[in-house]
Amino acid sequence: MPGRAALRRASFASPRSLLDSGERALLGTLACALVLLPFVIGGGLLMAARGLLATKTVAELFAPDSWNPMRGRITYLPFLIGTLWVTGLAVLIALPLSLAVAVYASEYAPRRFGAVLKPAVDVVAGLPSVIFGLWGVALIVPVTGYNILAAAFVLAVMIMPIIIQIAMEVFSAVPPSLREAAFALGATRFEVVNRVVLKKSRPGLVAASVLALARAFGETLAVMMVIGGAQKGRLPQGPLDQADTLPTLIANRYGEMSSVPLVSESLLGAAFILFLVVVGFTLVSRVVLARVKRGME
Amino acid sequence: MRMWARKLKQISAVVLMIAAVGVFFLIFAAIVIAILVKGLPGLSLDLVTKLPESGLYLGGGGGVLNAIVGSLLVGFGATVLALSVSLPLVLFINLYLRRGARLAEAVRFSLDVLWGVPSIVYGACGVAVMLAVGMRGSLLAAVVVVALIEVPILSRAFDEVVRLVPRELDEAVLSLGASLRTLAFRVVLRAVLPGLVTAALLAFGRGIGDAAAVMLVAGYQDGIPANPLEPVATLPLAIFFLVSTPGAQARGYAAGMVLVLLIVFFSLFSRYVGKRLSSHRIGD
Amino acid sequence: MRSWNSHIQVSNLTVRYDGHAALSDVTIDIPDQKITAIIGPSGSGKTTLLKSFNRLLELDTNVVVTGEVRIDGENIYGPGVEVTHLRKKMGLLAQKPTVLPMSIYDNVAFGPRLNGRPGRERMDEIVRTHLVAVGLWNEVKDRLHKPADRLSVGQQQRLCLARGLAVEPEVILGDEPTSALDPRSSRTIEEKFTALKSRYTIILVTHILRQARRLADYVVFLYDGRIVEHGPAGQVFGTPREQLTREYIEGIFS
Repeated sequence: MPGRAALRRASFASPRSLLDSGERALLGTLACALVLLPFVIGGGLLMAARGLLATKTVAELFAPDSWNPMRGRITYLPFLIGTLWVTGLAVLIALPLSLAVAVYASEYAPRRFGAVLKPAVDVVAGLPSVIFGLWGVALIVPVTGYNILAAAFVLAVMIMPIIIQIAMEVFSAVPPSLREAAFALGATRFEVVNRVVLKKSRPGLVAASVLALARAFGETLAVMMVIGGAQKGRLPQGPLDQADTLPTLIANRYGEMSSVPLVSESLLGAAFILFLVVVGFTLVSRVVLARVKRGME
Repeated sequence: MRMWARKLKQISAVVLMIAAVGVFFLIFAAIVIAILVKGLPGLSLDLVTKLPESGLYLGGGGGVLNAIVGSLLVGFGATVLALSVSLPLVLFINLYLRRGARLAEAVRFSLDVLWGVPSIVYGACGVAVMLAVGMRGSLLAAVVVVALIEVPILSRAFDEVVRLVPRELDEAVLSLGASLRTLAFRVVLRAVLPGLVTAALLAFGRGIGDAAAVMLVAGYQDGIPANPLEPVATLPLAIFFLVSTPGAQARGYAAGMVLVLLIVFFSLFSRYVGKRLSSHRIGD
Repeated sequence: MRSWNSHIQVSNLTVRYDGHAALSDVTIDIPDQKITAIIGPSGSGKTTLLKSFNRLLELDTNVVVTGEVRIDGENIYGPGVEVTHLRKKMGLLAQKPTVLPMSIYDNVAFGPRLNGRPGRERMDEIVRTHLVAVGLWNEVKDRLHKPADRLSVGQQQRLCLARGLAVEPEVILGDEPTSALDPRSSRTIEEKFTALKSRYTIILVTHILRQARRLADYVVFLYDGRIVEHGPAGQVFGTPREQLTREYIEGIFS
């Protein structure tokens, strides 16, 4: 028994080491700072844009006017409408296509198909936005011209991987026993998918679409490359019109921030709107997705 | 319902789905082919080895070396910075805090929010700060802002890996009398190293591909920055400028090819490194 | 009156998870240098009691521990206790063998390295001694620097035991340490426990009554977070005082 008695008497009480408490405090501060960061971003943008509200009412900021800060005309409406057109059309195009691919991959195709599809989806998801913009300029613009529709097509391709990935996750969370029960009742595969799988997955699919919408809402460069730009900041008249979105407004005009009055405030205000909308979308979809996953376990 | 009607529905659904799959792969192929077909004519050794000369945008000489080097600088700097935040952060919330701690949940929630914030918003924040302190577009600003974009990407990917470490391992290590620091940085970090490398390279890929934030905060120059306070060119912006210039479109596509090749190279590289490091991996 | 010294004294220990009591008012002395078996049906709080001895319970945020656990008279839940020092005295052998993601050699060397770095030769000696002690040396001496997760499950559990012993603990906590093992490996572990009890206090959670009969000098029977009966093994198994104990050891419930 080597030194047993001596060990016994050694107490395990000891003063907390300075290094340990310092390390903990440092890491804790880092974590708290990260929790506060979204508030800092949102609050900071709001503070930076508050000068705008001193000269304009909220109603004026969303009035059907055109954008001309040189003459004191500032309205977000043309860009908001441009954004809504582009993102709405993009989701409309991408959703059915992506769902069909996801349903086929998880309910019909042999497993090997997933082994081909998944890397392809991952690759598309990982491409930088400028590449989608290039693709749009090369293949979409020659057909449609530079306009909202071209931007919607490009965005649709960008968000397809997101919807496919999440939809496949949602489908795989549907318990196999439900499918088996439906098959046992003599349903065809189509009926099982239609009445059991899709129905059970609906909240998850809504969340997937909202997440995709959020991504589309904030996309800048790919849209900027094909949408043409709003001439004189006027309201877009339809999907074949040229336009700007909130992100392209910021990207196009940031050079005027220090030279033209109120441009700085209004662009940071646009960033704040983007922040709010995207954060809201993200949160809603996350909460729904978390609930879906928990509900199915 | 009659049997043949049900069969018909079934068959038409399958046909529609296969068509959708076909469209998806067609789009996928179209991206690759469009960039190849349009880019190959513009591709030359000069493009990747020379700085822009005065006539680059008019079909003259020179290349986009400034943008390639710039993108690598921004991507590398931002990833190192993001790593130095994400690595301790994720180990802290998983191992230093008790399981189920409120702070860990708050951090994850915040990361979710930050992950969704578009690049242009980070760029706008960067510009606002730079205007306030009187700083112009620079490599340093680009590195900081892109690091901010990378932190949620990197942290979430890394967190997913660290969460897979079985709690039995924590208990085994702590039972030997190890400190939390030893557990986190000597055992767990080692076990999840492949996952960390994959996460870092994922973030790096996003970093070199980012355009919107960089456009606002990086400035642009035809040379390679001599110090971090100089403006820096990046590949996505070079591509954007070239494609927007009527005479230089072919070079824009060629530069696009270079960017895609870079990203493919780093993603293959991450897979290779992941495999090399995984001899001690947890759970396989 | 009793023929043994106590090593660990538990008094009024209560453990709550989210307000639900996993252990209620447990008071007991654990004898020194003997094998104590904690038995009881699943969910009776056996593992919770075991993990209260090296404060592993506090890894969860919703656990509240009240009462005292004294080891050699010192309350381990007292203020100023450095938990890493405590845990060095308490080796844990878990249900499933958990090897560290490193080589066989480094697994055993991990504990000693926490307290400074012994020289190369000294470390080789430490590793060899403890691998010999668990009967693993001959099986692994040619591949000491290969990853430990390539060993069989039985070998892994013996490696974990060697790793724990290399820290030179005073108490060995076994949490159903043979439940994942085949019969032969289980027997090897049991033999090692018997051989080790002259030097260590061993506390063994087990749901295998025959194992408790084979190994234990002292038995604690837990039911629903309370101690129903405890005493020398011969007495608890031979002439249990409580009806519940008798029913449990006769296999009327499990």
